[in-house]
Amino acid sequence: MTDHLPLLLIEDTPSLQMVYRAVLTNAGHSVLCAGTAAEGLSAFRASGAQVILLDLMLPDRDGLDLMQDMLAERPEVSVIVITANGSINKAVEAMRAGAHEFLVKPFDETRFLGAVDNALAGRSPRRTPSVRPAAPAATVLPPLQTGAFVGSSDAMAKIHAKIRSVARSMATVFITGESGTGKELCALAVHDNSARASGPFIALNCGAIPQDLLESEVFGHVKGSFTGAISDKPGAAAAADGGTLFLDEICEMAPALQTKLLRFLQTSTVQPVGATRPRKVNVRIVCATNQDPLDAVRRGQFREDLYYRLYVVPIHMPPLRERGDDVTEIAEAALARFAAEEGRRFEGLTPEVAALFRRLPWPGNIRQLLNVIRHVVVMNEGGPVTPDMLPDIVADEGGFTPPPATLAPLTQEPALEALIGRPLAEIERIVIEATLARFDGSVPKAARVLELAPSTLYRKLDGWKG
Amino acid sequence: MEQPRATPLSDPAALLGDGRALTDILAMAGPASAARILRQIHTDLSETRRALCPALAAIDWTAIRAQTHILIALAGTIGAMRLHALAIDLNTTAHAQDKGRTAALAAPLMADLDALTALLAGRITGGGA
Repeated sequence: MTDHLPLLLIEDTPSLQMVYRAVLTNAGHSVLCAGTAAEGLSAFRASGAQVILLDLMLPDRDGLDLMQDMLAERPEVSVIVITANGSINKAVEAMRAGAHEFLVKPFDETRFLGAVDNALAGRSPRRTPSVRPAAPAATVLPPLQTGAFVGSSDAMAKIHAKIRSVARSMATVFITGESGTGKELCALAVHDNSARASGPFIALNCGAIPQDLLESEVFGHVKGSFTGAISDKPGAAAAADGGTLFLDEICEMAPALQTKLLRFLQTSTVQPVGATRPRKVNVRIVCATNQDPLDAVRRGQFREDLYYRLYVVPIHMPPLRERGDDVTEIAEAALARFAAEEGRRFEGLTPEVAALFRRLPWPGNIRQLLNVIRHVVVMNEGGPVTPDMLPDIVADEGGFTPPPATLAPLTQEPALEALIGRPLAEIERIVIEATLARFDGSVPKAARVLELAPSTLYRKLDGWKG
Repeated sequence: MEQPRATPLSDPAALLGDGRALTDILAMAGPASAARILRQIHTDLSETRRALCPALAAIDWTAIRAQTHILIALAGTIGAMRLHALAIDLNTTAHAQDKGRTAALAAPLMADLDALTALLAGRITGGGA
């Protein structure tokens, strides 16, 4: 358990310093203690400590300032911020400034030692061969492990840099962006570049699961806790123990479950539905939404305290139309991949198609682009991709044209009479299917007219298939 | 705002719950360190009280926030959950600079703090945890 270098504990309340030291020593760690910021900085420089436990309220200096100085001198160190209840906002600020984790006092021994172990594990070259560059700033950093995260635009370079810097910490990441911009890939990149890469990555779409099942999906249930609970189920939070839990469409989570999620974040414990005892888990949360989360807070749809808990490191995924030549890079990469899957030989995009792709607004973003390329590969034998190979709605350069005359006021539709007396859900389905038919099956276009997120529409369509 | 000292006969269960948090800390530290830790906890609580009294009398919001901040951590760590909750309330109230609520919270908090320091003093002199 003992690392070669001591842990540095900077805590000004003597009894708490003694208690924390006893816990750490008992667990086999070597500990160096300081009671002031000045002592702490001296010990930091003299000891070479790589993991620092730092109280934010120190008598001679703000702990956050001290942390920034330490990170400026040695960016590779892991700082675990410890703070009492009143300073949560400051702790959030600390996470944004590069803290590895924050603990709210009082904390139990398990949580405390878990945070230290995480910090030490994140430092281990055995577990993170290419992620922790303990190198001078001028050294070229290893390439970000981003899988299918294609794109070399400035916008994506910033995203890559942000992922690289945040991945090593335990900070909660809040990803925003339009539907189809690659939010889940971004979450996966955070996981893959973290010290938890060898742990599980569990993704859960909060908008795709019926609200009455969501609690069970997140926190699990025990056999017999409700009708249909025929066996114990661990839930996503427990399944993600030691890894990352990705909560997509977080703003669509029901208020009651938001309360439980907040409690989970505060205590790191899960209590499956029907269970009598909570269980500790060690999970990093990454969440995403295609809404403006602050607007969801203002509308009362999303809890403010949960928002502040989650919105620690925001990453905004830019829409494809703002990513310059990324659209052709992604298209070429997808073309090669799909062609290989289908056993066909394509010779890349013609200049006309590349120019068209750069002009199109791509309301469905990368998901829409991939569908177009898949269509090209399936419907054609090979060769260079020319405009005539594209689906009609894309080849027709307008991409999306609002249909001003096509949607007459409902009251003038004779069909309105046929809807009266039907359940609202059925009417919704009829309207959605009719809108899709009007736009030749284009989900992005139909979604725009219906003022829905395309993902919502995809979800409804999937649900009807079942 | 010197508050009347609570009797050392205050119910330990009301102050420290089942007492496990403190007992566990002291057991983990071992006999030699346990005595030092217990004395230091008592010292820190007493010093917090000494600093908090004039801060409450003078309505010094900065000092009230600082001392309740210490108290939140310390009381919570040893399982003094009622004092912990009162410290959180007073800290929040100090952030809001609410004089009326501060006055209302001060008395029960100081009573609990006094009772707790008295209880710990008894354990130190009694040599037990």
